[in-house]
Amino acid sequence: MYTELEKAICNISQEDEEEAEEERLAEGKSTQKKYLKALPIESNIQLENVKIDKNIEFLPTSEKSIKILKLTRFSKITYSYLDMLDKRYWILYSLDNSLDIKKDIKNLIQQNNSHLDYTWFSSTSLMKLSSGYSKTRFSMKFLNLFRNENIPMKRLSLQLSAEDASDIVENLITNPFIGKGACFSNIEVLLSYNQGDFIKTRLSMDGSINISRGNSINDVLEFQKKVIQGHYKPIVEKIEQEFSTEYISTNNGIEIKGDILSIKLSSKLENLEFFTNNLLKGTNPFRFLGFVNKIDDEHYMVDVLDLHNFGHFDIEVFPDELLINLPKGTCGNSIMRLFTLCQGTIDPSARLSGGAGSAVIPS
Amino acid sequence: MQEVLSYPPSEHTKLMNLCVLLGRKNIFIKPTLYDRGYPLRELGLRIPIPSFDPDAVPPPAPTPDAGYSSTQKNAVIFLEAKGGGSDEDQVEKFYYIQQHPETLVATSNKLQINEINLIIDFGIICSNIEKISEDNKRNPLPFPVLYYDEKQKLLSSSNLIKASFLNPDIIEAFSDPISIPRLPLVNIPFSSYDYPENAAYFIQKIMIMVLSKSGKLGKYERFPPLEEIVTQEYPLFNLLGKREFHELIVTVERILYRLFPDDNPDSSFDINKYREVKKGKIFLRRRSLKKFLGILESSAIEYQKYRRGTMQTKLSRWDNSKLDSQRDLYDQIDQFFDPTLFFTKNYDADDE
Repeated sequence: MYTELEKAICNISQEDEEEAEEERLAEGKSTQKKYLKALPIESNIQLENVKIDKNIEFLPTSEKSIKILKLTRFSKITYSYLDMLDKRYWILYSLDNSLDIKKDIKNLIQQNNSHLDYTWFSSTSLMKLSSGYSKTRFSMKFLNLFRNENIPMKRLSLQLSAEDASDIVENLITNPFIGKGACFSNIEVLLSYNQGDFIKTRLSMDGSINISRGNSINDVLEFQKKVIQGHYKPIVEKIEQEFSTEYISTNNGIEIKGDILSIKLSSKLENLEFFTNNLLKGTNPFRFLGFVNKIDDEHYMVDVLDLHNFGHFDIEVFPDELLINLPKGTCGNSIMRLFTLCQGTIDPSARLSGGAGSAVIPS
Repeated sequence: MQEVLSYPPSEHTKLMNLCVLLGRKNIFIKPTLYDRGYPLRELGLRIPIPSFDPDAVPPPAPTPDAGYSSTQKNAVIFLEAKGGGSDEDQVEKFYYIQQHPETLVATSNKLQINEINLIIDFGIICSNIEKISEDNKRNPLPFPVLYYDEKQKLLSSSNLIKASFLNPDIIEAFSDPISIPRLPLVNIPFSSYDYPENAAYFIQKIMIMVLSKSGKLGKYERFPPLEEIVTQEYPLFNLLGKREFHELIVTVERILYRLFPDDNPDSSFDINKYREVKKGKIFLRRRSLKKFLGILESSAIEYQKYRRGTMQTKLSRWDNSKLDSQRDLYDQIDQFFDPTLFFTKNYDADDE
C-alpha cells in the first residue's frame, strides 16, 4: 500500500497529462490515475463500536490513532489510511475511485444512530475557504426541494472551469436570476504554501478534498488541516459552547445560559406545513424525525430527533427564519447539516447567526 | 400527508418568552432591561418568606416569573406574567418582599445583590389589560403594569394603573413603547399554563427525549427512571409544577411500561431490549421509527381529548382485560394508548 501512496504523490505532479485527463473526465470516462482524496468523518463514537459491513476491516498500524482500512469490493482489495489523531474528526486518505469510497463511507455513516456524520461545508464555508486563491473550477447545485416559488427555478446545476474563475463566481452570485440558486457544492483552488510547491485541490460540500494536480503532499496536508482544524472544528465548537442553551435548574429557580441560533432566509418559505413535513421524513439528506406543532400558518414549532446520533432539539419556523434551540451537550454537527442543506434546498443566501446577532460562520 | 396538529401556546408562555427577551441580548426586540444593565438572572425564583406567616409549614414562597438585577446599582426587578387577571394573594406576598429586602437577600446569591440600599421593583406583564384593570378597580395594584398588545405588536406601560416603578432606571426602560415585530417562543416553548390543555404536546416532547436517551445507551444498559431522563434532558419541565409534572411522568411511564416492559423489577421500561436494526434502520416493536412516532402522536391526541376538562380526575389503572389475549401484543400497538380502553376507572394515587 505504501507503493500506492507513492503513486498518488507522483500522480499529483504529472502536469503534462492533465489536459488529456480532464478531457477523459469531461467525457464521463473513468480515469486510470489514482488521485488522492481526504475524506473527513465526524465521529462521536470509538472505532471499535462502529457497525461495519463484512467487506470492511480496520487493520492496526504502529500508530494507535492511525488504522488501515481494508476494503473488499468484488474480490478486489484496496487499502486506505484512517487518521484518528483528532478523535472527533477522522480523515480517511484514499486512492480508491471516488464513487466507490464515498459509497462505502455512506454505508457507514447513514445507518440510524451510527454516531458518524459527514462534515458539512455550506456554500458560505466554501466561499470563505476558497477566498484568496485562484478558483480553477467550481460546481453549483441547488434543488428547490420545498417548492418555494420565490426562487425562480426548480433546480440549478452547473460546473465551470477556467484558469481563474474568481470573477465569474462574483458575477454569478450577483446575477438576478442565477444568484437565487447560486449554491456552491464544490470549489477547486490552486494553492501554494511554500515556494515552488503547489496543488490543485477541490473541496466539496461533504468536506472531501480531491487533489487533481500538484507536487507537494505537505500542501495537501496543510490545506486539509486548515479546512477541518482551522475552519470547521472551531465553528462546531462555537455552536456547541456558545449557541446551545442550558437551563440550570435548582430548587430556587431556573437560570438560562447560552444562546439560540437563527437561520435567516433572504427568500421566504411559502408553505411551512410542506416544509416541516418534509424536513421530518427521516430520510436523506436531513435525517430528522419528530413532531410538528402548528401555531399559525406562518409559525410552526418542531421537535427534532436527529437520526445520526439521536440528539434532539427544537426548531421554530417562520417564513423567513428558522430559530433553533440546541440543548447543551447536543451535537453541533446537526446544525451544520441543517444549515448546509438549507442553503442547498431553500436559499443559498441563508445566514447562520446567534440569537444575539453574531455570525457563526465567518464570511 | 399527515395533518399537522396545533397546540397553541398559552398567553403565559408568550409573556414568559417576552420576559426572557427583555433581559437577554437578542435581535428580535429591544432588550431594554439588559441594555440598562439588568440582565435576566432567574426564572421562577423561589423566595421563602417565613416571617410573612410564622405559623405556615412550609413557609410561603412566592416565585415571580422572571428576576433581573444590576449588581452595580444594587437593584432588582421582578416581572410576573399574567395572561388573565391578577392574583391578590400573590401580589400581597410580592409587596411584603418589597418592604422586607432582607428576605430576598437571604434567598439566593444568583441576583448578586446586598441588603444595603437595595431597590426592589415588581411589575406585572400582561396580555389582557381589561381583566387586570377590572381587578385593579376592586383592589388597586401596588405595582405598575406592562401591557403586551399582540395585535399592535407593542409592549407599553399601562396608564390605567397608577403605581410606578421605584427605580428611575426601570421607569426609563419602559418610558417608550417597545416594538415586538416577532415574538419567538423557542426559548420557553411551554409553561405551566399549557398543561393539561396541551397534554399531547408534553407527551410527544417526553417521547422524543426517551428516544434520544435510548440512542445514547447500549442495548443492555439500564434505562434511568423517566423523571431523571426528562429533568436532565429538558430541565424546563420543572416549570410545569410538581403535581402536573408527576402526573405526566406517571402517564408516560405507564405507556412505556406497557410497550417496553423490563424483566428487572427495579426498572419500569427498557426500550432498547425491543430495538431491532434492519438494513441500518432502527425498528421498535416491528415499526419503523417514523411509523412508531406516528402512532405515538395519534395516541397522545386521544389521551389529550380524554384529559381535557378533567383536571381533578385521577388517572385510572391500566385495564388489561380489554386487550385481546389471542392476538399478538405487537399487532394491537395502534390501540395501545386508547384512553377509553386503559384509563376507564378512577385511579387513587395512594394505592400505588
